[in-house]
Amino acid sequence: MDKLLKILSELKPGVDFEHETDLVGKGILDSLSIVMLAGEIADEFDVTVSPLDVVPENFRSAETILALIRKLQDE
Amino acid sequence: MAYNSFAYLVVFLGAAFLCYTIAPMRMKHSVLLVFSYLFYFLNSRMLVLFQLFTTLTVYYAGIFMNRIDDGARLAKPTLPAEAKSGYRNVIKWQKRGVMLICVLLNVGILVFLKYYNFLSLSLDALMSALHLPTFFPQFDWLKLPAGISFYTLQASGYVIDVYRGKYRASERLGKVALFLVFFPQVVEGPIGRFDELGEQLYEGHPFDYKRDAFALQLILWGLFKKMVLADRANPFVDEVFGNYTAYSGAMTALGALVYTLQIYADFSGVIDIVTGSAELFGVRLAKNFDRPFFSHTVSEFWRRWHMTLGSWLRDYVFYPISLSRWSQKLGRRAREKLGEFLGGALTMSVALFAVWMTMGVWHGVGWKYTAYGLYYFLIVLAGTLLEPVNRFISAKTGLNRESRGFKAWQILRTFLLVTVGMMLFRADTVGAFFHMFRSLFGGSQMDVLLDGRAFSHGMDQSDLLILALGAVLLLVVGLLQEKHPDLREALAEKPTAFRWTVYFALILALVIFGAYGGAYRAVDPIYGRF
Amino acid sequence: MEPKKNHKTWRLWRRVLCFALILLMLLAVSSWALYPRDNSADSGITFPDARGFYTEPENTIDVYMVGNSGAYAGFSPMELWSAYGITSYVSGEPKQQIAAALTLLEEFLKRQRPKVILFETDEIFTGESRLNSVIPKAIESKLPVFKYHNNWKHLKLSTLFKKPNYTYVSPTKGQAANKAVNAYTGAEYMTPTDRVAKIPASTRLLLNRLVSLCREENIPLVLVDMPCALSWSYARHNAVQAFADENGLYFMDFNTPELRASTGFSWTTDTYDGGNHLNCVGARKMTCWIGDYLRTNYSLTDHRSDEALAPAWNADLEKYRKAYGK
Repeated sequence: MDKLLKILSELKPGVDFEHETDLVGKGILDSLSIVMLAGEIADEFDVTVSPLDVVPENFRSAETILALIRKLQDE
Repeated sequence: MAYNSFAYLVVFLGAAFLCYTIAPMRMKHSVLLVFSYLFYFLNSRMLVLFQLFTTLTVYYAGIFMNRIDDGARLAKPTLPAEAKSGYRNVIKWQKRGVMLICVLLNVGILVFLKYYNFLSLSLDALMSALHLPTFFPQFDWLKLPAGISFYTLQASGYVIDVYRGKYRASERLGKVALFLVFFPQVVEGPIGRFDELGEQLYEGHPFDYKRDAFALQLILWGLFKKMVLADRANPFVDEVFGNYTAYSGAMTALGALVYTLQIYADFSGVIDIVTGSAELFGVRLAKNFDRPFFSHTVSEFWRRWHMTLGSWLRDYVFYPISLSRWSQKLGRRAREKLGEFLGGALTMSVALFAVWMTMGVWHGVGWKYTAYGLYYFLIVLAGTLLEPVNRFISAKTGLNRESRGFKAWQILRTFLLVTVGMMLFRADTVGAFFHMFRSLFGGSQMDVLLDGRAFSHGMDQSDLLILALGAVLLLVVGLLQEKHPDLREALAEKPTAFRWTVYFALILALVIFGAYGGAYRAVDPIYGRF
Repeated sequence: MEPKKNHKTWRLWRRVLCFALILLMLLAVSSWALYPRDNSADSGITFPDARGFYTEPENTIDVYMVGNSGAYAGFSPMELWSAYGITSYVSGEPKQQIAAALTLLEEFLKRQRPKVILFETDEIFTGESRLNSVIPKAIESKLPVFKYHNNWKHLKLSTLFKKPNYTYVSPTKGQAANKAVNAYTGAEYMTPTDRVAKIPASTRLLLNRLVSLCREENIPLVLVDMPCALSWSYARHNAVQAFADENGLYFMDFNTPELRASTGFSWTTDTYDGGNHLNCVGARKMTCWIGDYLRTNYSLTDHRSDEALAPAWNADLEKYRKAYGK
């Protein structure tokens, strides 16, 4: 989780990713930043993010992103 | 049969609604299918065969992929562990082959019918510039089936979704057919997704007074926008853009602004009419407009204008490219060489370029549309690249980016950028656009505006008054929607006298101020020739 | 549950009915408000020449022609007056629909008792006779707000509560004369054939209505077709001739070689736009032939010695001659 939070805060400084639960709805993460994030996640956690995974539900909060990473690691 | 014609609204839609309502539940989807093919035939005659071709290829591609999946599921348990991932790859490639053939076939047809003449002409021009003989014949008889640009995207989306495993392909041909030919959306969208639309269309919906009343209200509102505002603006826009060398400064600016109003009122108006039409049958089409002119950035604008196209491009062009392995590899190397930010942004721009170019050429045939896509690509790219610079500047100057004033500035800036983009979209050619743009800073022609000469070019003072009031009304409705996202619900809660006054006002405004009848030329919907 | 459901349905229908009635009332009021109070352009009339007859003294016009642009270019009431002293008026509108022609005729008959009615038949085949026009036109005749809605631009409080006051006068009695000469040099378009063009069903209905209207009023109807190289054909001639025969009407088709010879018509000198409309030379030839036919077959008065009518018509004739020559 800490690694993820570090990536997120580097991507979008000044956002409280620990507590924010509506990242997509509030426009903090748009498609461009999600793709950048996907790239970093792929590097850091050695997973492949596919277009099917890039749905708003998966990126709503740091928790949901972590859950996605775990799911992709299991595959 | 135009969506804003008497024939469609009263005769066709009325008949479809009647038949749908009295049909038994399990036959309701057949009613929709029959009427949809009738509608398509009335619009495109024999070109309906193209619709059928797309439907059949997409349906069978889906079935084929289902069979591959089913076979794989049966075979997998019997395989030794080491062979499993290799087998998975084979299956993936088989499905990919089916999907690619289907998509390329249908997109190929679209490209050929739409772009062949333009491409061959350009290639020939290139050849003669190189002193080579011209090679390509021109086919003047090439015609476009109605809505082909829209339903091809919708069909491709379905096949790609099935390939990705988002859902299984439908075993019912009627379901796929109705998804592609449903008459409210077939001509100009919204571009639908099968998992959202397929079931809705197929299951029948019983009569629901409230739902149908809402639907009629939406149709009324859309008609108002199209007939009172868009069609009224048309003669003036035609004049300023058609005779652009005669205008400059204030006149050109007025023409551009009026055009922005026209295209918004036209497109969103027709979308409201078709969304309301679908709602009569209990079908909710995807949202296509979300008060786009309240956007703070151009990127946001394209997420709120023609939303279904934007999301289609995002899901089927942007993500596949930017999340693909080579793009990720490129990104990694770029970030190593150029640093986190720059590397990431430049990698992104490859995918962005693809998206905007597709968006541009999808809108029409000609270099102007390529320029249109390029225009927005450059703006979005600049926006992304300048992001850290902006943050730096605001930190240094103490500028509050969250303040109302700054937000207002962002909205104004976006509006101006979009209006210029629309000017490019409407101009005869790229050259004409540049002439018009430069002339904005040339002779101001304010005198033409002030002494009344401006009002003999297709728009008189009363017309301008209506358009101005209309723009204000749209603004007010937009602001209201901020507080009440579902305006029709909010309206339904008001007392009957209030509601009925609103309806009567809209109907009378439509009847009296609508741009129809002897003094006006009927205006085809701007997005209807796709 | 049953009685409650029925009650709900009844309440529903009551609301719908109520809504519809109020709407109808509003449309009726706006129809009244926006109805033109004058027959001039600034009162919302798009083609004032077609409605210039409102200002003609009652019961003074003996021959009335209605049709599209072929009529107002090809028929010259001034020439008819000059040659035979017959008073006439032509109500032509570009791209006229037969429904509109009927309305004009009905309006005309409220003020005049013509001896002969001429109908220019070109618009039978250029009409918009499909779903988009027939029913809307029917609604329009009952609720004129759909036709005159654009009049909101000309709404004047001063005339709103007054009766219509007609001011527009057409000195040429509806003709749109043109001196220019622009020859038609294209191919022969009246090659004899057995083919019969199709008259759309809804147009036929309107034509029948025209015939019965003239019968009810006891006024003979004559079918006329002005020369038009761009929109006429022998097949169309056959169709209209068949209709004329069915209804016992005389049909003078100036496109036929026989009548072209009879009138001395020439595509070289008699058109101002290359074959679509006649200029004043062509109009004179057609009108003189029509006048001769009418004089022979109907008892029409020569009003040139009528002290009430002649001075005004002679004055108009003089203006016409000054503008368009002999």
